[in-house]
Order: sequence, then structure tokens, then C-alpha cells
Amino acid sequence: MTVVHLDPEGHAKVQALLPWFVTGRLDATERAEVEAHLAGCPRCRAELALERQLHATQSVPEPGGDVDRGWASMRRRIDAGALAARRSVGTAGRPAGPGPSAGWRWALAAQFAMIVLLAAALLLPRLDGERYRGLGAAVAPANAVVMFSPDATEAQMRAALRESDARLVGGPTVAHAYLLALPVADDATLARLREQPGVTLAEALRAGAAP
Amino acid sequence: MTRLPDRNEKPAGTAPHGLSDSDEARLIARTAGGELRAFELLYRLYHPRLTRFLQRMTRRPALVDELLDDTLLVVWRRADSFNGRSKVSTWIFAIAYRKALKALQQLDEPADDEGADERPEPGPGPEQRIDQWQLRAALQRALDQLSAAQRAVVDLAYYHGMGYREIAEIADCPVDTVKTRMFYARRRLKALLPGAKEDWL
Repeated sequence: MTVVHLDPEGHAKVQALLPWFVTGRLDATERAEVEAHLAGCPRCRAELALERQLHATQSVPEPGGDVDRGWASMRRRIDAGALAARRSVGTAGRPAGPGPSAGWRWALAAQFAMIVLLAAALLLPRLDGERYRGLGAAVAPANAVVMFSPDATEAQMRAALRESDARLVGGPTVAHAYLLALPVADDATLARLREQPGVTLAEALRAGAAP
Repeated sequence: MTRLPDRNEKPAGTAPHGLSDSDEARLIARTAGGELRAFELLYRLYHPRLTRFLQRMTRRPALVDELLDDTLLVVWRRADSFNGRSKVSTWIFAIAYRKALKALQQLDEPADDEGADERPEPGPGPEQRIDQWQLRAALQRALDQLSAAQRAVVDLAYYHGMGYREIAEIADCPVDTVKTRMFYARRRLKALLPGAKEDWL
């Protein structure tokens, strides 16, 4: 194996960080360190130029698999597992699938409460600064996600949002999902959204919003 | 003058598909409670990302669907074991990574082969003029020559936008190992790029 030579001027250290410098994944201290080095180092700037080229070649999306077929297959496996669980001793009456302990759920609930408080402060600026495609001037936090079938028309998508009084606050994402702000993300609203032509999934983001 | 880094970074606490980390954690909690709809959303959100990652890491299309299913079935069955100390994406990708490594090992493919660096450089050298199609093909061949662990680092960093600490968590290895894998992978790939010079390190 090749061994990296001693690096008194920090070239190797900086170059090792360049992939994450280009993707914006360094912390503030590391980023400042890299920027300071690059300002005075033409060789590492040349490396940065190559790094950007390489990143461009490797960050190209590729066609994904068939998610609907995959989900159908997963449902069959889940159903088969649930059937087996029901037949096994001591599981009667428990929900099919995962079975969390009460202690774990309370601990997680407490943790989520803290996360929600922190996220509330972060969420509005996040949605505002991202690839935001809101339909109105005011920015509301997303409380639901909707996905459309690949052949859904734009008119169908507009109608689905209009019928549920939804405001589009994000998307499309990598998974072709759209983040929505619904007036109330309750069962009735989500059920109405799911019934709209072209909609394949509509789900609340908050626990308890759609039991 | 130094250029600023690309500002394609998602804000802290935001998963690449747009949901916040706390939204994802809530979906996991609801999945742990047996909510199939919450799991379906997670499934649909992670399907494209995991498909890409497993294709890139294993280079074996025949394995991808099975590994993807096995990974997400663990998410469904073991959602209660997610302890919130890491991000949901880190937890799920770590499951996929372990399953892919195990599958490759069962096929006797060297999955964690640092010796891949010693293999001869594939494809045309940097002095040759190659167009974009040829470049992509050459990079593809170079990626094929890397170990699965190196390919995983490349894809997690460049495409999924993960930091080296998160990648180290996924691969369950020290951060220096992540940097080393990336170093060798980049050296092989960059040699194929127009304008590349001999590595001076």
C-alpha cells in the first residue's frame, strides 16, 4: 500500500478534506482551514478544480427501481411475517410487525418533544432558503407528504392540492415527494387527498395527525 | 482567488429528500408502533436512494432488489431498536452497507480490499483526449476496480452528500479509514479527468 509522505505544509490534510469541502460537508473550522490553505496554494487549487469535475461526474442521478413493485413485494413479506407472528406462541393480540417496549417509546417521545422545539426554529428558514416553490407569500411548515404516480398530469396534481386546500412548501424531492402544508393533517383531509386521481401516497408528518 | 465551495449543501438537520431529520425520526417512531402508512412513506423515500447506493456499491444488479428489500424489512421489524443517537439515514444506510458487504463476502468478492489500489490503472491515460462518453465509461471501469468499501465511500460522499463522520458511522470504521479509502478512490478516478497531472503526494 502506498504511504502518504510527511506533510509539513498540510497539503495532504487539505486534499483529504476536498471531497467534503466541495459538497459543503465540513464544519466551520475545517472549512476555514481549507479556505486559508487554498488561498495560498496553487497546487491545491488545481486539485480543487479536479475535485469539482470528479464530483460532477459522480453526482449524476441514475434511473431508480420500480418503487410500486418493490412496495407490493414488501407488503407481501410483511403480511407473511404478520401471519407467522399470529401463529407463534405469545404474540396474539399484539400488533403485527414491530413491537416497541413502553419504556423505549416514552424515552423517544421525550426526545422528540425536544427535537420538535429545536426544529420549529430551524424549519421556517430551511423551507424559505431551499428550493422553495410555495404557492403563496406566507411560508407554513410542512405537515404532510404527497406522492403522485409517474403518469399523473399537472392538472391532476393541481386539482389534488386545491381539493385538500394544501399549500406546496417543498419538492419534488429525490423520491418525487412533495411537502405540503395542510390546514389540518387529519384522517379526513388525508383520505380526501388519497382519493384524488394521480395520488399514490399522502401521509402526515406528525405523530398522531393520522392515526 | 479561491472559489467558495459549492453551496449545494442542505441545511443542517435536513435529509437529502427534503424531510427534516426530526420528521424522519417521527416516522421511525410511528413505524415502531406498527403504523404501516408511516413505513410506506419511509420505504418510498429511501427506495431510490438505497437502490442507487446498492447498485454503486455492489455492481451486481441482480443483488440490488433483494438487498433493498432485506434492508427495509429490518427497518420495519426493528424500528424499535433505533435509539435516536444517529440520524435515521445513518441507521438505514448502515443496515444496507452491512447487508451488501455480507452478500459480497458470500460471493467471495473482496469487499474491503485496500489492495485495490495496487491494481493497474484502467482505461485511457490523461494525455489522451477523450470525450464525455468515453470519460464516463473510463470512470465506470475505474470504479469497478475499486473495492466495495471504496465505492461506498465515493457514492455516500459525492451523491448522497454525507460527511466523513457519518460515513464512518455507516461503515463502522475510523474516520481516517474513510479518508484513506476516498484518497485511493479519488487518485484512480482523477487520473482519468482532462487536465489531471501526476499525483505529487
